[in-house]
Amino acid sequence: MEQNQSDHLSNLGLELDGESRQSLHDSAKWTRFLSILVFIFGAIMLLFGIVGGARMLSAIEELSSAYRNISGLSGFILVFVILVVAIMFTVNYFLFRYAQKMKSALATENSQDFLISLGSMKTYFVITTVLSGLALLLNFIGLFAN
Amino acid sequence: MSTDQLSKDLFTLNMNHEAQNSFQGLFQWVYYSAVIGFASIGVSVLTIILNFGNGTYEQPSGGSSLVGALFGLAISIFLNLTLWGASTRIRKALLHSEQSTFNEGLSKFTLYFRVIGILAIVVLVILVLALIVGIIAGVSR
Repeated sequence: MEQNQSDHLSNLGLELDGESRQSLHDSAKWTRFLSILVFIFGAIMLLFGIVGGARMLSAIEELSSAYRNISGLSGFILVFVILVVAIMFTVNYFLFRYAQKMKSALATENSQDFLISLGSMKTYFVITTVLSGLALLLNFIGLFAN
Repeated sequence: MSTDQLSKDLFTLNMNHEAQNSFQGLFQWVYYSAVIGFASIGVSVLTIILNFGNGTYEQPSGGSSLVGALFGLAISIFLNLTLWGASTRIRKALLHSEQSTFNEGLSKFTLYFRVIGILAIVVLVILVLALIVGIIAGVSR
């Protein structure tokens, strides 16, 4: 039993004690939960974007011809929603892959899965940090533009 | 120091360069993420101060929006401190091969996702409750 607790991911020369193993397992559990939640939320958002966009288009077409020149707006909203959902799914895929590969690495002592898992989490943080940096820059500009 | 703690400190961290580089690469970006997070908190504080100057919080809904902003700020500070703590501990642990510091870092990293997960559950529950209240209100009309 004690041997199982400190099993080696031997190819990496990596020794994980019970505590670090538990932390990694818990992080995989929570990231899996979060990523599934975001996938569901993204799907709902896409659905609302498509249905809402179609309804907006038909509502605009019912208006007088004077308003027809803004009918491109619904298409723009749809493209924007698809873009946001695509970014969400891409970012989230890496979080999900971290969870999957970490669980499998801890269960099977597979060092390759362990490295893929850490790499996925790194990619997740790279993308979210760059996006946060861009958002911060826009907020900062907005703060002084007002 | 307890015997348990002592044995943990004596137990040095074991991993090869490949694993070490992976952890280092990951937690370098975790560190950057925390830094960007702290900068965002700074901008949020500036926005709150400017809104005070504009009298935004003196409007009827101003009080609740201020409470919301402060609550969001408190959560954001906690999450970024957790990320910061995780990255500094892991990087220190990798540098000095300290198992106990490595464990602390990993547990902080897990705490970060646990808190976000719990917040997500709270938001979900509130949304479901709001939906139920909305449906009941709609039916009783």
